[in-house]
Amino acid sequence: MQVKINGAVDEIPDNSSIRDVLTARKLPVDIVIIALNDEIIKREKWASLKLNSNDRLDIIRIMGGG
Amino acid sequence: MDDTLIIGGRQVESRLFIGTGKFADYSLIPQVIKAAKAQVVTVALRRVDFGTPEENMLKYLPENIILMPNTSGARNATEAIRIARIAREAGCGNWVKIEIITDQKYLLPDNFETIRAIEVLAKDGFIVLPYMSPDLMAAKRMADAGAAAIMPLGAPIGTNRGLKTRELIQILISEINLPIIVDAGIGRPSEATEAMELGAAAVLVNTAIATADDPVLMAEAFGQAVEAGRKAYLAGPGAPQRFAAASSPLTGFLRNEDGVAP
Repeated sequence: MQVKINGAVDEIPDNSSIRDVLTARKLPVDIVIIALNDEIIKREKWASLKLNSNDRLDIIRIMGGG
Repeated sequence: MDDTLIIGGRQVESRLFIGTGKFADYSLIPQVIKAAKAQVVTVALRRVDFGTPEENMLKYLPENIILMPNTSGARNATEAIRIARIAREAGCGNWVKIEIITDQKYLLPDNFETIRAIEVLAKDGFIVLPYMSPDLMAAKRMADAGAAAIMPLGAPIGTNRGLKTRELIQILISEINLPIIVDAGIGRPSEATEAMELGAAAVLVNTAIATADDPVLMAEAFGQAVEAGRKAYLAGPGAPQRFAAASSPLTGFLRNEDGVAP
């Protein structure tokens, strides 16, 4: 199915969870913040929450800034 | 003397705020914070870049600081509000530096959108510190909207050009009943001192420290400069005079009052 990840359309397997997406991209799960359709998703829900077609997933991190 | 800076009900120990951008290595940041004796520290939020390895910058920040995420990347109030809420959800606390920019050449902030963002975020429980172009009417509206402090720019971000907006900042200091924190443009410790002597409540410095040859030493210098400027402000400098006024007696030793040798 198609979802939008960080603004770009991406193809992911059906029934993927947020954690599946992070694992597939080898992202360090301890440092990212997840927004699904503009709503922050708490870490505890990443494994259980399945993505739907056309969802907008934002994977955000904190970095240096002034 | 009691000279406590209070922002959003919280006592702030250091009048030097530090930005964490542009450091060659995150491991410099804790040393810089320590050398500057800084307490308020800004960070940014970004979408992950899948192409580059990520490091957790939060692990470099000491426990006792006040984290001030900025809304850099926001082009309007709606985006700034969204970034602020994400930062709070992510555990960054409820302080936020509003930074709304569409001008890519000078990176000057959009005061109008900033006022809109403050209205929403202040009602939502945030301690809001807006980065702004130093305009008195805009600052008044920001104060009315619930800003906890006002952060006018000294010069465009990252330019190290100093207090180019000095006259306008002085007006804000005199007319706005909120802490005025000079943010952006300060390139040298002497310029930080100048801002503090004017009566600024604090300064926010990033580029000048991060891009120095020795950022840790520069952080220490800025810390001392800010303290010196604050003390000078509190001490009340003497007024400038056009003509000389002798510091030592000029008469009574080699000559009398009439200029004639005895």
